[in-house]
Amino acid sequence: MSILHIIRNSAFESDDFRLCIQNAKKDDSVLLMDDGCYNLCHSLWQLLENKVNNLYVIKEHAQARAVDSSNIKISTISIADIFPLTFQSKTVITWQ
Amino acid sequence: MTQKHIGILNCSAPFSKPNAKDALDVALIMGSYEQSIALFFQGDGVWQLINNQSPQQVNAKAFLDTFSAFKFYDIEHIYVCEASLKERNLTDNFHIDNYCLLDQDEFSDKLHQLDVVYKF
Repeated sequence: MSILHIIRNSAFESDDFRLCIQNAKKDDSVLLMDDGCYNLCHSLWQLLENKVNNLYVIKEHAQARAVDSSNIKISTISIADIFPLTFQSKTVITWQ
Repeated sequence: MTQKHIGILNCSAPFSKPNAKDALDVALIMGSYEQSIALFFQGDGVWQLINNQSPQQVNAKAFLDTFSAFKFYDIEHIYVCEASLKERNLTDNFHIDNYCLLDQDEFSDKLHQLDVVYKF
């Protein structure tokens, strides 16, 4: 009964990322896209990294924002990969 | 066909954005079609439940009064994050009855039991 959490906002301006971490479980997946990519630079990121196994970021969205994900434990995927990802979880919550 | 269990996750305070009103509209529509629906209040969403609000002071509609109609729409599962109340120094002095206060883990467990979650 896992959830795919899609994060589209920066934690620097919204509470969504913190609430997502609060609700997430180990086997859930978290996908960063749009301004959600900025969360890779937020202090809460470490908390998420320690709590959830499956972490993804849209490569083009991170690169567009000059957010470096190379040294972080996260899988870079493309927009086209979102569709199959939604079928790997029971539910999807879009935090926006 | 088995019925989907739907949750509406309220994370927005009532007046600055349309999210709270939109969530209420969706809940009532789902309720009128006899869908299995549960309401969740977390983060700033808990402000929607606080008693003695005066929306007319900011020229907003008094849509929170409609929460009292939940029982007529068979919306009986209302879950509130206790940690979010504590973070805001709030008590459960709410304008609704029949809610369930849940700690962080219980709240997460309830969300994970749903088939569909709409976050507002």
